[in-house]
Amino acid sequence: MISIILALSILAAVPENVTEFDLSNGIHVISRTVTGGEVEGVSFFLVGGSRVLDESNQGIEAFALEAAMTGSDTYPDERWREIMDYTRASWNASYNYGYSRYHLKCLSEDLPVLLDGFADCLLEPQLDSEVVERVRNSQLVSLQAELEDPDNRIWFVANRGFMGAGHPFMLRPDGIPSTIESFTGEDARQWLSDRVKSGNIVITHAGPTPPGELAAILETTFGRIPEGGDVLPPVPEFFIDGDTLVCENDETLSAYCVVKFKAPPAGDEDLPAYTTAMGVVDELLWQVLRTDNALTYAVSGGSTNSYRQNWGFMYISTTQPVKSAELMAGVFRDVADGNVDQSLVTGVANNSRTVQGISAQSMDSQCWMLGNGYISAGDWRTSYMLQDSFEDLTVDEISRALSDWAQDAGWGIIADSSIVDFSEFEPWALEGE
Amino acid sequence: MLYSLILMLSMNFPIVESELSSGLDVIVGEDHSSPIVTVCIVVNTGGSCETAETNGLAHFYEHMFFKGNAALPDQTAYNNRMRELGIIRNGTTGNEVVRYFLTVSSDLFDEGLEFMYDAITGPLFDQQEMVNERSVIMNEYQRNTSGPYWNLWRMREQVLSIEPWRSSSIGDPDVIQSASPEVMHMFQHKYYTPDNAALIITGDVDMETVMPVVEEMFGNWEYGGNSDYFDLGLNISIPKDTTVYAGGPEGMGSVSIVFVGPSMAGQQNWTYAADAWGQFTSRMSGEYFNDLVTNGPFLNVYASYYSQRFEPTITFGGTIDPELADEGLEMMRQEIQSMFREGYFTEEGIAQAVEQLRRERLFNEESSRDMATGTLPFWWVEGGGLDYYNSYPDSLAAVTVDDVEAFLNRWVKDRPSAVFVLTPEGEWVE
Repeated sequence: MISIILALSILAAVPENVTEFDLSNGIHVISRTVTGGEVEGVSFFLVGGSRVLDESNQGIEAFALEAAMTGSDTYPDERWREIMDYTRASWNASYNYGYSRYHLKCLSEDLPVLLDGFADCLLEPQLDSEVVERVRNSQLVSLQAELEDPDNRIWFVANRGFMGAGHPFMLRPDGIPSTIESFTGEDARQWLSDRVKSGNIVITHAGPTPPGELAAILETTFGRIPEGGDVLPPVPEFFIDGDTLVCENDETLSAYCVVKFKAPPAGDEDLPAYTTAMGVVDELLWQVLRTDNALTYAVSGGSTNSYRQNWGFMYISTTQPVKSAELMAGVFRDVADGNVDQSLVTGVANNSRTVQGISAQSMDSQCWMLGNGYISAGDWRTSYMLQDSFEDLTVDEISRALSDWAQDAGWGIIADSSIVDFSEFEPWALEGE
Repeated sequence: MLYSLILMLSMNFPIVESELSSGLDVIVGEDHSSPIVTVCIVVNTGGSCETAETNGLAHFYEHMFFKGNAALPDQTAYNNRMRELGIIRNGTTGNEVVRYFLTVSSDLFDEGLEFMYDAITGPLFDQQEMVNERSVIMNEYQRNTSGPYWNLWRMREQVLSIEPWRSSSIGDPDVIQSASPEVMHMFQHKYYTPDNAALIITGDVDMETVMPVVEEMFGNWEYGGNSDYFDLGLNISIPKDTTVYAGGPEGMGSVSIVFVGPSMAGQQNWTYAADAWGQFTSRMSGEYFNDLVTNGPFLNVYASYYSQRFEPTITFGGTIDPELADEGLEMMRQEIQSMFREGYFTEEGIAQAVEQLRRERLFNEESSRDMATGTLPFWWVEGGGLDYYNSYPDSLAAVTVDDVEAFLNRWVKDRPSAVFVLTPEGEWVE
């Protein structure tokens, strides 16, 4: 039975016209009705991420979903491609530490056939050997492109000291070459059979289709998914204990540097102040590293806010990593010590409000916000309420949040060791004397 | 004073195009789906306007746009004002177009528009800020060289371009290191004038009230009349068949076969058939995909026409295991030949391709911010105004199989091509 509850939006940033309901098998659906266009967005979240993976099967869910989405018994490869052609719909897949997400962008008139095909691919995937090989090779090429690019690789270099071996977030949801090479079609089929259960799934929607009509479409498509689901283990804290530094040699003209440090988990009361603090860090990194010292083209600071364990980060590409890292640590300490102007804090809230307005124009962004808030904190409103929480924060509040949570720093540097002498490096402290 | 008003057809919200007496095109789209406004200035300039001696300076100019100006004396003041207004901004420099855009809360529209006006009309080009920015841009250049496709891009510039520097907007390091305020002023005088630019505003604004504000604020921007943009020549030539093997990382391979395509400057009549051909050919249920991917060695394939004024290309391409690249190249060549077979193109298939392009346009118009920063600037420059974009659906709907075959006969059949193969064994660019 489908029960529909209209959400009450009492805070400024929380949107109206959001409806929540459950399918008969228990799949939770959140829909934001957006009128005035024909474009629909539907996101399918498979909750678990790194917590359902181990060393030997990291990437299996990405592999299984990509392979399954090439066709099913009812929608064989060729027919499915014809449908994708005439609808001009697009699927966008992403895999992170908390969940896999498959997002559909299409016109309203095509929702029924596309959702039916999608559900069928999940439940009755063809997984022909040739198609499986093509998916494998495509994934390997994508992985190779990522691994070859130091600008991408640097984020994982920093993880080695920060997260530590054995932490589930050290496992790559999109896989590594050795695991992707090992998977078979049967592995994919078994994984889907185990994981595609109603309790593991959340569906979000943004677009003109009204909730009642959407519910009917979803009931006949995703209502077929069996009940059940995984009990997910808690995410342990990151293992860092003291400042660390991991260096990697690469013959690159620019060095890359990232530092990570602990942040409040999703739903924590310190999260708004911490997020704002990192917004202030971001502004000051630009001012100090780029405007004042011309050390970089790209520098940034920020934090994740939707995981059970989050982290803050600072990033830079530069030919002077040592000087840059010293300055980055100095910027951080200034914010943690409260040595910043209130106008910076207000500015971060102003910018955030504009970003929220930009995301409201995109069905994709709305689907992500609805699902991310629900999965990370149990309520889709969380994503929107975070914005409201930025208003009226003070320097004292943001500096306290930053200094309480972020003490030990996990640094990573990729540089050409013939240009940069790694032996001179020590990790830079984020805590003051 | 406004002297023309044209109501355009957009699927999701109304758009009006006007022109000030200074020659500034003003394009306004009214979309109340979110309380924000996006303001974009698009300029007919870019790498294509450079010489070997100024290679990289169009991009340098873009960086200086975000520095001090007559109203805000330096970048610190500039950044402070952005925070006050909650402005999210960016700029891009391509070979044929430069764009600057910002988004602001709609209740601060006037202030955001003024911020844009000050930046576009009064840049200071402070000597010390320029010296600092040289290092910043050099780091951008150095970052680019780390990417896995750097060699491929560089080789395409060398092989396809008559004047390679016009294809390289990131520029020459020596030129970047010697950039001076004088040359920035030269660019400003030549290209950054209202008659060579468009102001695009979309979002939560009222069409009737926004135009007087624009006219009052931008009415003093002085007419230039110095741009040579529309006199610049084609910058692509493939005089004979050429094959290049570009060095790439282990495990990564691609093949592309490139032909010179019709220019958006003077050859627009060919472009509708070109787009219909590209869409027809790229269909995943079509012969090209089936032969090369489903039953062939490629991991994916595409066929496309790139709408450009100076470097228009027709490309057949795909990703492939580098060890199979030569085999794939031969199969792709055969596939191109098969397109000249009678019956390869069908009226039903072309009609489907046209419908797909209609839908793609709908998807592109989902967000008025994306329209202001992407779709509208691109087509305003490439089409020489928005008439091309406005009439595109009707022109496309009229495309027939004969048109597509004529397009291929004119631009591909027996024409020389440039082949680019990315393999680990290819050459490396220092």
